[in-house]
Amino acid sequence: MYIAKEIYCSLTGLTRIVHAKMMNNITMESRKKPGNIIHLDMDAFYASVEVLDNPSLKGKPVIVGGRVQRGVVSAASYTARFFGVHSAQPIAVAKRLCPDGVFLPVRMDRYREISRQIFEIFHRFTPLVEPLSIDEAFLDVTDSTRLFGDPEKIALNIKNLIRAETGLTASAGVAPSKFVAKIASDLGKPDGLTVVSPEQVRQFLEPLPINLLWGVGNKTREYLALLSVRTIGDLSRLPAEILRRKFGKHGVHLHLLSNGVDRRNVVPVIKAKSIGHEETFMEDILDIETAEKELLSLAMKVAQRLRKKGLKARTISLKVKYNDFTRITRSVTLMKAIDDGGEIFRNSSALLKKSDTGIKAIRLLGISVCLFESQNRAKQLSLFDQDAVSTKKRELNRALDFLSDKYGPEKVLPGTLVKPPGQNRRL
Amino acid sequence: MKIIIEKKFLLEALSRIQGIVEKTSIKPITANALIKAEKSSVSVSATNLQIGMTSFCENINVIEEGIISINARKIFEIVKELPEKYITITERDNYRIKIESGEDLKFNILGLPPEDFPNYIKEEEKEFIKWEKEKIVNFIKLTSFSMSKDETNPNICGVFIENIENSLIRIVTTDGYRISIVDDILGEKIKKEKGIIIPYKAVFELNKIMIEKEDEKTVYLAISKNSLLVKIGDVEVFIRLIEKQFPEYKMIIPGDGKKTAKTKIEKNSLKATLRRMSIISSVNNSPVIFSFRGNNLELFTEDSELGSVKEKLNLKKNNDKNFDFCINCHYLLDILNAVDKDVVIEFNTEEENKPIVVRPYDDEKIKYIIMPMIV
Repeated sequence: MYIAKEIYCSLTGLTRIVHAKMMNNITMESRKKPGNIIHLDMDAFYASVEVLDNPSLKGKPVIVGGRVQRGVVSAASYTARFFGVHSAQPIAVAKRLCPDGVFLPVRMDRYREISRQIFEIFHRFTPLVEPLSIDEAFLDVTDSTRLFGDPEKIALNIKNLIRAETGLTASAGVAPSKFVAKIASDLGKPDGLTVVSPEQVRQFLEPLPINLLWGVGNKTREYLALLSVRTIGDLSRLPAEILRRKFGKHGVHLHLLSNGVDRRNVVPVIKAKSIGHEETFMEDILDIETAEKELLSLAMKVAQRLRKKGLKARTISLKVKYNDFTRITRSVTLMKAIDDGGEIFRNSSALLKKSDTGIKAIRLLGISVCLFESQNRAKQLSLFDQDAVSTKKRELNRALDFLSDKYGPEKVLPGTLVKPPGQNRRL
Repeated sequence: MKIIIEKKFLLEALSRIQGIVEKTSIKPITANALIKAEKSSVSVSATNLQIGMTSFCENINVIEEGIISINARKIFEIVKELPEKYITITERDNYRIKIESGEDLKFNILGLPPEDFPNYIKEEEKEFIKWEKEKIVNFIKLTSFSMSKDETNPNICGVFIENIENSLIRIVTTDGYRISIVDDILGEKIKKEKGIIIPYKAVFELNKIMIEKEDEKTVYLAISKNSLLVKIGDVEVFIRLIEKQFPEYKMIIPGDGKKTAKTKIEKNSLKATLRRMSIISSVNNSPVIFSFRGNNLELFTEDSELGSVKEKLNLKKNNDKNFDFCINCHYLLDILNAVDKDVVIEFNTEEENKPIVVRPYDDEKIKYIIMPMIV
């Protein structure tokens, strides 16, 4: 969306500052009758978290990604963006554009932790929260206004709470529909609050390039350019019939969107369908032994998350991506639901033996589990006295979970995962 | 090597090995078939290092003796599609193999050095015992469903075979939650005190061959320290045994006592009822509750997201005592699919969570034990 914004600026011939002012205008005018969907998006999320954890980086061009993501930028601070660095850009290009940049590895666990805090704040205002990614969500606050005030006030409240509780900034877009809210929050970044009222929607969309519409890719854009349709306004004036004939149902949808009509609801995620962890390695893994070590570490993490949610899973899936980018997944469904890291490891390493590990180099390993059973369900008894063992295991896991809650993750590890001092292969 | 062989024979031998050749390329040689021509006989072999198989075709026109190694899947596909009755296979230089069918059709396929092919049959163990084939097939039918396929517990991933008293041979399979025990006189005793465990994949392959070889009455077995060689007609199967300790299953078998209630149930009506139960129970593996009430057996299961089902079965005999237990109904269905008689269910009426025994009516040689579920 960052790139889209640049196009918007160059298209309208506005500098960033003027453009921001214009956004302000819309905000001011729309106060009369605001919409009821809020799109919230953290500003340069990964990079901001890094600055938060290391304040000496403040104001410096921070670039997250690179080594782990195989030479691609995952996130760039606004200072770095000033140099032209942006997400999905090859790290080599970023280094050329911004040689003094601070290049940091991705610390997914930490981002997830903060993400949880942010989503917890969202849920204080409405149960209708639809996550789009780790740092981005739609909120439907239609029924929350009596309790918390108008949507703009709610958005402002959320922004303030995020700043107070995490120290980070978010941008919000308030609009009558999902897609307008998303465009609005993007255009107001960083630390923006853009409100588009129902009457304002057309005026707001009018000058925007059509590729900001969801579902308009290169092909569609090329075709529409032939009809000299370049802005969403142009598109809204095109008879629906033309679009329907060319693109069918999708065309009708585009016509509606360009006229500001988006009937899609905010769909909250109620429960997780699967829990998983994966790791892309700095160096390809060539031997089974190393792969198994990584698998054990992944299994321990997955198991801990299962236990935290009070779930047990019956299906264990292994994902292997080789260095030629081919990918396989293998899974097994057990008779008994499990939540123990060792058991998850044993099952996934049996699956690993069905892969080409040891023959082809591996760049990514992942374990995910699904088919959950909550712990109070009926339990199948074993013939051979394994129940005593599982009681012991359960107690051990409880102790481990307690330690990791108290002292942080990966402080107590299985012996094979303890690295000699000074050696840190994984990022 | 140069042979002229009838398509039918070669196709049979090649289709037999498809079950054991590796699909993934862990070791290319394990995806290959070895074709050997000697005197007037041609043998086709394959191995995945756990199971090896050789089929012999006799009275073949061997023009030149020799050995070739070729991708097993591909040669099977090729032979299947050849139009003529006879096929000519010729070895050329650099492991290239020419396959001809008539004058107009030639495949040129790259093979691998046959020297790399693992020689899995050890010559030293050739002392065979004889077993009745039909009885083995029946054994497998009665027990194979409860073998574990969970390779994290390798000691139960197969059938356990041991000698018991009165020249009986016993076969036991378990997945940790249920156990199947069948005793019968098969033939000679096995020459291994502690018994043997045959991996489940090998059991399925043997079963296929035994069913395919309709005319064979006898199966020959040679057991060595860690392997088993089985001969069925012109097919030899080499199996690496599971060298693990099978669990102490004898302690689990409940003895007869005052506390045990026995109820005979008609097979077909119970099977039909359980199939109805499983529509609901299979969604989330819910337990089926068996409630014995006088001369009725009430069955009930529910799924929190789907709904429930309840059915009453009339028993011929009146039970003095009401009793309930819960089981995974698939365990009982598997038994009903394997046995061809009405069944007797035995359970402990005094204590809960004890194993449930299921036997065919009037047959002491077959016994199934199922562990209940706790709700």
